[in-house]
Amino acid sequence: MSASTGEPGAASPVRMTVNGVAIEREVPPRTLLVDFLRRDLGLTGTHVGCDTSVCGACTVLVDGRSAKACTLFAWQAQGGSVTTVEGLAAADGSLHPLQAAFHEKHALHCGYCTPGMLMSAMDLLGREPAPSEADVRRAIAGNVCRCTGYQNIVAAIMHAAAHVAPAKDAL
Amino acid sequence: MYPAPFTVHRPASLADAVGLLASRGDDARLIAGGQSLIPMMKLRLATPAELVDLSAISGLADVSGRDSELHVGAMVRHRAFEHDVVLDALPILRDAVQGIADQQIRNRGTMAGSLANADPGGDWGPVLLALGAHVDVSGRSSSRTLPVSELFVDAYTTALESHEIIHAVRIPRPRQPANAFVAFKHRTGDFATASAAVRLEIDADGACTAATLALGNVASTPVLARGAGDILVGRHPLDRAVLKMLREHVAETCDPFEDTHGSADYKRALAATVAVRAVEAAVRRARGEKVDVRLYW
Repeated sequence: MSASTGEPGAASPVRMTVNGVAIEREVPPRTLLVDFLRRDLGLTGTHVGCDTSVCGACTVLVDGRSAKACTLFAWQAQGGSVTTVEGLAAADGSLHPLQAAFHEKHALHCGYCTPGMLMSAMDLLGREPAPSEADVRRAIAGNVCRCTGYQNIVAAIMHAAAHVAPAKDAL
Repeated sequence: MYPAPFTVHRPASLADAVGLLASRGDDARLIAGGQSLIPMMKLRLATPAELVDLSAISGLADVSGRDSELHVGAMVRHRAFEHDVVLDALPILRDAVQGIADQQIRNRGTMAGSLANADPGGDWGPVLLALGAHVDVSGRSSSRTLPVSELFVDAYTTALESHEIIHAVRIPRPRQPANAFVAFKHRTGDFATASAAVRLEIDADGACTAATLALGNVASTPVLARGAGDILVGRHPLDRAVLKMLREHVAETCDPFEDTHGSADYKRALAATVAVRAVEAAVRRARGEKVDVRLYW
């Protein structure tokens, strides 16, 4: 993306693949990835929690790796692939095994942290198909939950890892 | 929260990036991972009118040259140091990366960016000081190589000119894996309340033949405990009298601020303790043991 001519901060094109779909929009450079996803693409599954890079409610995958979308500009994903929670379920609506595990193990109450937890779990399962409980807790150390006490979230991720194929081939 | 409006440049070469910094002066900031810069911009603690992004420059994301010296490009993310088996000689790197923030931030933030940011609490600073690392810097009219010991000037202040870019970090590969980093962190991923990085060489009789010790977040920059060599060399590092002298030297070397994590005296005592833990871990590694420093957390 070349420098804008005209006033600083003028909109310019951003292109990336989101949940497998090629998209292009014109946005100002200061547009955060989380707001690009929510406002420009209507993908409101990714949440803004603290907006200060701590809580992880905004976690998505960028090129297969977890990242806090409130701490990235949209142009930093230029030419790359972004996966949000909306990209987990199959085209027919059937849940991703990780989502099914969260359901099975009651790993959410209010659900606000859940998309971020799922995407951090996807990062983990993409690089470690047989994680220990310690691995799981480290993988979600950047995701805060105010409701569950984490126990069932950890159990759900362990359950998904043990009972499903590695997540990396699912997206 | 939103940063103030800015223009972003994504140069294809280091020379172009340097040229942009040189022509834009104080209005321009470099961005690598952005995991420190973007939060500052969102709070408007930093309001650059121009960003010069390094991620479109090819060749900066590689870790190479592993036999005698590790060459770490400017865009190498923290997570590169989590699993690489080549780092058997440098377990200190894995020690440090495990405690940096969280997985999301480790996936995007960079070692070089962390050094350039020069946060007093950064973990790479003391580690690279203890390892005797250098940074390769590209500037407007020339390139230079700077030892990390000359890089940090003050909190958030390096010896770099405004047009200079760290394009690589060079880490000498030690002959022995007798190196370790121990940080006391109130919560996993926080900045250390105090940290210690040590590199030793131990001979066949268990005596220390070389030692470098650096301390983190107990001064406005990472600091070398310059008397560590005199205290440890020629002696068995785990000797009680030796460790007592080391503790006293570390406590004297610190110049910590009191804050919510503790008083200055608390931090001095903590620094002395993590220094001893780091020496213990390094000695055990010299003996061929696998040591997980998280046991000290």
